[in-house]
Amino acid sequence: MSKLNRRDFLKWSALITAASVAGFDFALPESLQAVEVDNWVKSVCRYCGAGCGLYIGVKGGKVVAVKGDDKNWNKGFLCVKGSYLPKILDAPDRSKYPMVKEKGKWKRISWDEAMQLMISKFAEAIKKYGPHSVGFYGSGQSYSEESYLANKLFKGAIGTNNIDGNPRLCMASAAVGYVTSFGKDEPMGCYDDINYADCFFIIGSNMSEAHPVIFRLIMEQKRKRNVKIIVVDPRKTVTARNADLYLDFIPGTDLYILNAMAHVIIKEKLYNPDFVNKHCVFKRTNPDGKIEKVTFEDYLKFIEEYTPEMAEQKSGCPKEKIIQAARWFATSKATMSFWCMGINQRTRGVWANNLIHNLHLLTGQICRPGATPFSLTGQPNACGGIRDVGLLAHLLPYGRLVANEKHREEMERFWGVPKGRIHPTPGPTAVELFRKFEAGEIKCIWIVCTNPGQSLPNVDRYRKGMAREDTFLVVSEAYHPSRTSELADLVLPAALWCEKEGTYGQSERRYQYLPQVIKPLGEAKSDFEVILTFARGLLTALGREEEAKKLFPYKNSEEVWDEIRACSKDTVYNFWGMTRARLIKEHGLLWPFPSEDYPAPGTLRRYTAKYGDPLLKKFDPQAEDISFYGNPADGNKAVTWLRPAVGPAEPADKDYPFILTTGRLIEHWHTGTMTMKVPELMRAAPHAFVEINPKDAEKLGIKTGDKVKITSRRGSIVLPAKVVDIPRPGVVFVPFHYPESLINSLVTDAFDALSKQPEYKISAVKLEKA
Amino acid sequence: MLYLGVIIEVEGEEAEKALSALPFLSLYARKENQLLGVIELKSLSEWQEIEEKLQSIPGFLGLSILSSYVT
Amino acid sequence: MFFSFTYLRPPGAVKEAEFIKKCIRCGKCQQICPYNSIKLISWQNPFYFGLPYIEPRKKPCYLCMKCPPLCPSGALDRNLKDKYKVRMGIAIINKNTCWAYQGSFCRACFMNCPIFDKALKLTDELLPIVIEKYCVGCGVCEYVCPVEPSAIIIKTY
Repeated sequence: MSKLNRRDFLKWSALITAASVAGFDFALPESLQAVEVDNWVKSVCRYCGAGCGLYIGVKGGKVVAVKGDDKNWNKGFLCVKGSYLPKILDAPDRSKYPMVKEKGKWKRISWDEAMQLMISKFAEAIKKYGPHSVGFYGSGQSYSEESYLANKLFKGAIGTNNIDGNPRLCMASAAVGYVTSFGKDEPMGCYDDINYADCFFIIGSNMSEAHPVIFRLIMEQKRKRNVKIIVVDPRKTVTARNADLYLDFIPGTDLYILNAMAHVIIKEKLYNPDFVNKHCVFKRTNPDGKIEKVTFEDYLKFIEEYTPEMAEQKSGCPKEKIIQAARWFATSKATMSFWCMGINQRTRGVWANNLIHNLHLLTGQICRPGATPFSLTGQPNACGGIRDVGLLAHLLPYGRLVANEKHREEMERFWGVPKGRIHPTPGPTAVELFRKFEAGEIKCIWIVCTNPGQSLPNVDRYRKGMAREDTFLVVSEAYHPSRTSELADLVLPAALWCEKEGTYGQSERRYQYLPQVIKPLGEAKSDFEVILTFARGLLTALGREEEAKKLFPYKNSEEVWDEIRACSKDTVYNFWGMTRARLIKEHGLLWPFPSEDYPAPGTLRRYTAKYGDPLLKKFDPQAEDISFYGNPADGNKAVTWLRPAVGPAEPADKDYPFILTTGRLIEHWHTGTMTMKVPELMRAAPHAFVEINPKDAEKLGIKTGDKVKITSRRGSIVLPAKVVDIPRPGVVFVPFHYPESLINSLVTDAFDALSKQPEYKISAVKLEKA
Repeated sequence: MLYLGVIIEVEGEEAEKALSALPFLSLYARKENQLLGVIELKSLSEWQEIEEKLQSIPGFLGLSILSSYVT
Repeated sequence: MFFSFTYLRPPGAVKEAEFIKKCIRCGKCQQICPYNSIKLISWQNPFYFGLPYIEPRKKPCYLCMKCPPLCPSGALDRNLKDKYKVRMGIAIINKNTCWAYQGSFCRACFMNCPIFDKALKLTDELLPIVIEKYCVGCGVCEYVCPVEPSAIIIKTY
C-alpha cells in the first residue's frame, strides 16, 4: 500500500471497515494493493530455523516488500513475522557507527580507531596471558562464511578453543543426540517426509507458534489424508489442540513416557526384529562413566520396569494414552517425530533425544519416506553455520572433533597451520565461557550477532560478569543498545540480513544463498568484513604477518565458500557441488551434494541407498540399502541407548511449588531485537505475561491482568497474569522475548552433562499476587 | 478531516444516481438496497448540512455510520 | 428514516435505543475502568454528549466487569458479573485483508481472545473463525490485529 498517502489511506480504512461490518465482500482494488518494486530478489527469511524461501522487493535502494517463494519448500507461505521483515531494516535503534564506552558514556569513533582498539586489546591479552585469555561467542544467525572465518581464526590461528556459539543453548542436545545414536550429526530426513508420514509424533515443540510454516505442511496432510497427530507437551498449545492424541505430563518426566512407549512396543511385539538385528547395537553408560556395549536381552531387562503404570505414576499422564501413542507410533505406515526446545533445553536433553531415536530404531520407522526422527532448529543457520561449520567449543568443521587427534591433524593440514596448533582439549561451552569471563580468566570476548545479556540462563549472574570493568567486551550488533551491547566496551555496527551476502543452512540440511540487496545502514559493515580485518590485524600485531596473508587471503565471501566446500569434500557432509552459482540458481539444496551436476534439490534422505543417498556406497561399500555409515566404530549400525529416566535438576517442591517454563510467541523471535521494531507485531504482542492455569489462578485468587510476582531461587519478576487453559496445573509459562522482562534471570543454569545445554524449560518458582 | 464509512439504504435506482452526484460522498458498492460509501467532512459542523442534503433525496431511507477515521 | 452511529457501549449495556434513554451520563463507568477503555462522547456531539463508549482499536474492553455493578440507572445490567455472558457486539473477520486468509500465519486474535478457544477458533487450515454463540464483542481481537486497518472488527448489535 505504498502508493497511498495518509488521506487516501484513512478513506480506504473507513471504507474497508464499514464493508466488513455490513458484510460486503470488498477488498482494496488490486491496483492499490500492488507494491511497486524495481525488482524481486530471491533470498531466505531472517528468522527461525524453518528457513522459508522468499523474494525481497527493492525500490530505489530500499526494501519495500517480501513475498514467499512458491518454488521453495514453503510453497510461498510465510508467517506474520516474516511478512513484516522490511520494517526491521531501518528501525531507529539500528547501530550505525562504532561506539566505545568511556567512563560509562558512549562515544562515536571511526572504524579504524575501533579496529585498532580491539586488535590492541586482544593482542595484549594474548601476549600477556596466552591464547586462552581471549574468546568468541558466535551465533546461529551469522552466515556460514562468517562463522567459518571466526572458527579458523580462533582454533586454527590463535590456537584456543574458547569459541562457542548460541546454538549451545538451543541445539546442542539434538546434535549430541544424533551423534551418539547415529555417529554423525544432522537429521537423515527432510520436510518432504511430511508428505509421506501417516503418524506425527510431536514432543517438546510448539510448532504452530515457533515453526508455523512447517506446521502448516502437517495440517495440510491432515486435511488430505487420514493421518494421526500425537502431541506430548505440558502446555495445551495450538499444536496440542490440533492433535488426535494429546499427552500432557509433569515437566521433566517425559523420559518415563518415552521409555514406557518402548516398553509397550516390546511387550506387544510391535517392534521390528529384522531391523533391530541388522542395524542396531545396544549401549549403556555405566555409573563410572564408561560406555558399555550390551545385548538386546539386556535392553529387554532394562525396559521391563518402565511399565505404562509406572510412567503414569511418575508423569501424571494416563497410561491409556501412553499405550495408544506407542501403538500408533509403531503400527503406522510411516511415523515422523518432531521435537525442539522442550527436549533439548534439559539436563537430560541428550538422553531424551536418544530415547526418541530408540523408538524409531526399534520399530524400523526410519530411512524411508515419512519415517524419520526430525529435530527442529531455532535459528536460521544453527545447523549450517554452527553445527556443520563446527563453531562449538568441542567441534571442528564438518563432523570433526577437537578431542580426536586424527581430526585435528586433518584440519591443521587443510588450514596449513603447524601440527599441534589446534588445542586438544575442548573449550568452555556457552555458560562455561561466560563463567570464565566472569572469573576474569578470559580477558577479552567478542560477541557477534547474538544477545547473551538477555538469552543466557540465570542471566543476572552473567550480566555482572559482562559488565566487569577490567575485561574487554566487544559486541557486533545491528541494534544498539541491546541487553548485551549496553554492557559492552566496544560496539561494532553490523550489517543486517540483506545488507550482506552469505549462506544459511536450515533444519533439513538445506543450504540457501542470501544475496546482498541493499547497502548497509550508516557505517554498518558485514561481520564477514570485520572478522577478516580483525584476523589479519591481530596476527600482524602478534608479529605473524606471513600467517595473516596465508590464512586469510580472501577477497570476498565466495572464496571462503569455496574453501568451505573443499573442507566438506571428504566428509559425510560433502557438498562440494554446491557452488555459489548453483545456490543462486536453485531454491535451496540439501547435502550431501557431491558434484556440480548433482540434481536439485540434492539428497532428501540419508543413510539409505534406495532413497538416494549418494555417499552410502562410498562409506559402506558392502551395504545393501540402509547403513548408518557415520558410525563405522559400531559396524555402521545405529545405537539404541539404555537411558534410565531421570527427572529435572530443579523439580517443584514445597517452597517453590510451580514449574516455570519459557518459550516463544508467533509474533516475536528470540530476544526481540528485530521483531520488536515492527509496530504491527508489537500491537499484537506488546509485553510479557505469565500464563497460569485457571485452577491454580482460582486457588491464588489471581485474575487475568493482575500483577503476579514470580520468584525462583535466583530472582523474581512481576508480570501481568494471563489466566488461560494452556499450561497444565502446576506449570506457568512466560515468553522470553521481552528485553524489559528478563525472565531468564529466574531460569536455572544447570546444564546437560553431555551437551552442556542449559535446562531453560524447568525451573521451580513460587507465585504471589503482587 | 473526518472519514465516515457508511451504509445508505435506498429505494429504487434514481436515489443512487442522485447520491452519486453529492460532492462529499463516494459510493463503492451496492448489495440489494444497501450502498457502501465514504463521507468526507472537514469538521462536525458540516454534519447538519449533509444530513439535510441526504434527506432531501427521494428514495433515501436511512444511513448507518459504521466506521470513522480522523486526521 | 434513521440515522445511526454504531458506538460500542460498555459491557452489560441494554439495547441502544433504551441505553440512550436510560444512561444519565454520570461517567461512573468511565471513572472505574482500570484500562481507560471507556470514554465519554465529547460536547462537540451535543446529541450523544456524555454517553460512554469504547473504541476497541484504541483500547478494548478487558472484561474486568468492574463497571456494570456501578451503573446507577440500569443502562448497564448491574447483575452482570460473568464475562462469558457479556454481549457488546460481535467480531467480524475481513477475509480480504486478514493475514491468515492471505496465506501468512498470524493468530494474534485467537491467542489474545479472552473467551479463549471458544469465541474464536482455528480451523484445520489454521484460519481464525468467529463462533457467534460465544463472542462477547470485547474488541481485544480488533485491538491486537497487526493489519492496518484491523482485519477483525466489532459490529455492534
